[in-house]
Amino acid sequence: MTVKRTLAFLILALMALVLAQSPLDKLKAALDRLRGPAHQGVYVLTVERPGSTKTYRIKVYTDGNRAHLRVLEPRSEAGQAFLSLGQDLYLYDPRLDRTLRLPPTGRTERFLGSDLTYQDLMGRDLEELFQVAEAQGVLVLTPKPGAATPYGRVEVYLKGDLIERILYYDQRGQAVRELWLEGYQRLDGAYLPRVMELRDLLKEGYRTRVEIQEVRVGPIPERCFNPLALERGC
Amino acid sequence: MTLLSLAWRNVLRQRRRTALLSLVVVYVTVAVLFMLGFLDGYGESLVEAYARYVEAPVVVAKEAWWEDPDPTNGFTELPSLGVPYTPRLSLYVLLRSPYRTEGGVALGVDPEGERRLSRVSVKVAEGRWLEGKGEVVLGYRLAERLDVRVGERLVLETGKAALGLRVVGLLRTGVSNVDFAGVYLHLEDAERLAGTGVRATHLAVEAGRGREEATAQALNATLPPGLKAKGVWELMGPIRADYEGSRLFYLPLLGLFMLLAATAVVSTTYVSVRERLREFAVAESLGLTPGRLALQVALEAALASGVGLVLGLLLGYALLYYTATHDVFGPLMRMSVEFFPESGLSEHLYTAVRPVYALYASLVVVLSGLLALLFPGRLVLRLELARYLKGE
Amino acid sequence: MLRLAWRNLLRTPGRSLTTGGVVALVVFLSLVFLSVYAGAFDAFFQCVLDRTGHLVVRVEGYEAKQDLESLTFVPPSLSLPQGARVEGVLEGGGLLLAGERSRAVAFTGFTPEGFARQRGLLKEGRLPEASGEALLGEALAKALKVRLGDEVVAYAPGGLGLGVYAFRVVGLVDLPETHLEARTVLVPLADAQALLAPGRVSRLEIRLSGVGLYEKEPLEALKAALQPHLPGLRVETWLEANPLYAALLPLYDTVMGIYVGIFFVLAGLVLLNALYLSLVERVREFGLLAALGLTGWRLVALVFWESLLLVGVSALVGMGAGLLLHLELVDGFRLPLPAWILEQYKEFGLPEVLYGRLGVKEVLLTLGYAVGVALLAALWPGWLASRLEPVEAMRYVP
Repeated sequence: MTVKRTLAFLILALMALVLAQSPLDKLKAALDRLRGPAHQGVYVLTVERPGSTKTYRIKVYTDGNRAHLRVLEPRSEAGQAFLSLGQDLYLYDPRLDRTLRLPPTGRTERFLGSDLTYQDLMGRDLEELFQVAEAQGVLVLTPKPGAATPYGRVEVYLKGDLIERILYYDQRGQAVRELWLEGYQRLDGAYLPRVMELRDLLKEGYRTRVEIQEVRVGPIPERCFNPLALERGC
Repeated sequence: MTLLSLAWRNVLRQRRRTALLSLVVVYVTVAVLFMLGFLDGYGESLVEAYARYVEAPVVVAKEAWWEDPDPTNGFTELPSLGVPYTPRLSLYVLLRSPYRTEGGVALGVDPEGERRLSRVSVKVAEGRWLEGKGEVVLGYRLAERLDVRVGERLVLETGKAALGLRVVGLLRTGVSNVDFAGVYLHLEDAERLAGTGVRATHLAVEAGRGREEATAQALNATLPPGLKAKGVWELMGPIRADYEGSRLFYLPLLGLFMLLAATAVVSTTYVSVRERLREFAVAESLGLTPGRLALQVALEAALASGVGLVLGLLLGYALLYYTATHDVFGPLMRMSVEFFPESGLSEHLYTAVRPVYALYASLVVVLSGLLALLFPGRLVLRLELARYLKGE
Repeated sequence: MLRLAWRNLLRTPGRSLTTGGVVALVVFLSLVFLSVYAGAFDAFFQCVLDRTGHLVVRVEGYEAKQDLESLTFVPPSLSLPQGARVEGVLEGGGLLLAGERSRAVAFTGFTPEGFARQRGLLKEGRLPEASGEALLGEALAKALKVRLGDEVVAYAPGGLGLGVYAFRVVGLVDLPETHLEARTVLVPLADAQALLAPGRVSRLEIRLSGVGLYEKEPLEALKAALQPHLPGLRVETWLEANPLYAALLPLYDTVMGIYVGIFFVLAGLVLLNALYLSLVERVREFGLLAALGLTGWRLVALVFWESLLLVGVSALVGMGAGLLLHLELVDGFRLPLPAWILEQYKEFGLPEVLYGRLGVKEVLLTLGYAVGVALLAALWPGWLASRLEPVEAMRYVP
C-alpha cells in the first residue's frame, strides 16, 4: 500500500518537475499571450504630455509575429502605414509618397511620437537579449553578455500566466519605464490585453496608452505583410 | 702672432663695447634657439599625436580605401607585408547609451598589437585597456557626452548588427581626437558590426621616429598593386598646414633678427677700425697685405659676435631645457584643444632641444664676418698709407 | 641743444643711418605685423559674428535641455530698431537615409537670408530655392554615396512634426571641421519645421546694421530692451553665446604687446650699442664741452636728445612706410603662404582674403615702445657721459 502511494507521489513529483516551466519558458509563454492570436482590429493610441494630449486611431493586422499598422485618425496623419517583419521595418507616409525601409538603428525610435518604440510594439527583444531568472514569483531579466540593450534589468510581474507589469531599469538601478497591461480578453484560446499603458518614469506627465477598441480574430492574408501593401492598403 | 690671436686680443681690448654688442647677439641667439625649439616641439607633438594616438607611424590600405574610407573597401583577407603590422577596422557606428545617442567612428583593434604600437593603451585614466571581445574603451569626453560610466553597457549599432559592449576603460590621452571622439573595440566585434566579411580596413605599421616617410616609401616599392602606404605626415589633417605655415612665417623673421644683430656687431667693428686706422697703416707698411688686414677685421667681428653667441647658446639651451621639461604652454594648448577638438592638437607642448640649433644660430657669426668684410674691411682695403703714417 | 644733437647725428651718417634704419625697420615691421594679425583676428571673429548674429534668443536654460520640445519655442514678435533683421533657425537631430545607408545628422532649417550667408561655404551646386531641397556636408554626401540631384530622406521621429521628409540634394558645403561636416544637413526653415516642430524655432538671430565688430553698447541696450518682454527665453550677445571666443579677446592685446615688445627689445639693444659708440667716439669733445661749462645733467640731456631725435626721425619714416603698406592691406590681402596652406586655414575658420586693421591703440603702442626704447637705451650712455672727468676726457686716446 505505502509502496503504491510512494510511487504515485514520486510520479507526480517527477511530472511536476518535468512540467514545471523554467523561467524562460514562463516568459516565452507570457509573451506569446501578450501578442495574442492572429487578429485585426482598431487600436486607440493616446499620447499624454504635460499640457497636451494627442489621440490616434490605428488599424492593426497581425499574425502574432508580424504586424501591419495603418493610421486612421487624426485626418492630418491618416494614411501613414507601418510594417514590421521581425527584423525589418517599413514605413509609408502619404505626404512622402513612398515606402521607406528603416535601418535597424531606427527601431528604438519612438512610434508616432509616443513613449512606445517600434521595438516595444513589434520586437521580441525580451527573449532574445535577456536571460531570465525567477525571484519570488517575479521574472527578473538581466541582459545577456553582449546584448544590444541599454537596460540594466527588467522585471516582469506575472498575474497567473499573464504579464501584468514590466519594469525597466537603467544600469544604475533606477527604474526608467513602466509598462502596465490590463483587461486581458480571452479570444479563440489566446489572450489579448485590452489596455497597455507605458509611463516614462524620468519625465513627469509623460504617458502613452494603447486601448483595443475593436478586434476580430482570424488569419490575416499574406499580402498584408508585403511592403507593397503599405501604400495600397491591406 | 696669428691673425686669430691678434683679432682676439683686439676684441678683448675693448671690453665694454664687446659686452654691449654681446647683449644684442645673446638676445638674438636666445630668440633663435627658442623659436626653433618651439617650432620643432610643435611638429614633434603633432607627429607624436598622429603616430602614437590618432593614427600610426605608417598606415597601409587599399587605394580605394584612401579614396573612400568605407569598410567595403577594406581587406577580406589580411595580406602579408613582409613587415609586422597590427590590423584595424574603422567604421561608422551609432553609439547608444540609455540617455543619449550619437554617431561616431569606432576603431576595431587587436588589443595586444595596439599595446606594441600605440600609446593609447597606457593612457587609460579609469578602468583598463581592452582585453577581449565584448568590451569597449572610450575617450573620456565622449563618455561624458553619452553619460556612460565604466562597467556600464553601451550599444554600438550599424546597419548590419548591434552589439552591447561593456565599457571597461576611459581614455585620457591629452590628444583631442582621442579624448573627444575615441571608440576602441576588439577587432572581431568590429568585424561583426561591419558584416560583409571585412577583416580590417587598414594596417598600422611601426616605424622609428623620423623614419616614417622613409619606411612608407620603402613599403610602397614592395607592396602589391592596389595597396598604398602613407607616412604620418601624410596622415595629418589640416593642422599640418598651420605647422608648415608657422615655419614659413617665422624662419625668415629669425633670419632678419640675425641680420640686425650682425649690423650691430659690424657698427661696433667699424668704429673700432676707424680708431685704429693708424695701427693698420703701420701694419701694412710693415708688409701685411691689405687682404690679410681685412680678414683680421672680419675675424674681429666674428669673434666679438662669437662671445655673444656662446653666452646666448648657454642661456638659450637652458631656457629650452626648462620649457622642454615643464609644461609651460599647457594653458595655451588646452585652450586651442577646446577650439579645435579634432585637429590632433595635444594638451602639452614641449620645446625640442637639438644641437643643430647652435649651427643655425652661428649664422650670426658668419653674417657678422661677411658684413665686416664689406664695410669696415673696405676701410682697410682702401687705406692710404701715406696719410695715416704722417700722423694725421 | 637740439641743434647740437642733430649735428652730432649727422656727423656719422653711416652709423646714424644704420641705427635709424634698424629702428625704422622695427617700427615698420611692428605696424605691418599688427595690421596683419588684426586682420586675421577680425576675420576670425567676423566669421563667428556672421554665424551667430548680434543677438541670439533661446530658451532659458538651453544648455541643460536635451529634447526638441523643451528647446524650441514659438517665435514671438519683437520690437526692433530700424534696420535690424531677425531670422529664425530650427535645429534637431535624426537620421538621414539614402538607400541602404544612413547617418545620424543634425538638421538645421534656415530662412532664405540665412542661406544667403552660407554661400561662402558652398562647394558645389547651389543654395536651396524651394521646399524639398537640401544642402549636405561634403563628407556626409561622400559617406552616404549621394551626389547632386540625388534624393535623401530625413527621419526624425519623436518630435512634434511629421518625423519624415524627403529632400533632393542641390548643393554640398565645406565646413571647418570634418566631423561636423559629416553630420550637417541644411534645409529651408519651413521644411525643418514640418519635419521637427511646426511653427517653432530653436533660436532667433537678430542682426543689426551699422554696428562695429567689437561694439558692445548697442547690443547691450537692445538686449536690455527685449529681455523683459520674453519670459522663458534668454537674450544673449554673440560673445555671451560663444564664451570660448569671448575669452580670447582680452588675450589678444596682451599677446600683441608681447610680440611687438620682442621686436623693440632688439631695436633697443642695437640703439644702445649705437649710442655708446657715439659717446666713445666723441669722448674728447664731451670733455671739452664739460670744461666749457656744459654741466653733468646737460650732457646727459644731450645724449637723450640724440637718442630721441634718432628714434623720432626713424620712427616717423618707419611709420610712414608702415602706414602706406597698411593702406594697401586695408583693401584686402592674402597671407604670403602657399595656396594649400591657405586652403587648410579656411578649415579653421580663416578666410583667404583678410583686411588689415590699425587702430589708434596700435599706433600708440608702437610709438610708445619707440619712445620707451629711446629713453631706456640712452640711460646708461647718459650716465657714463655725466661721469666724465673733463680733463681726462680731453686727453682720451682709444
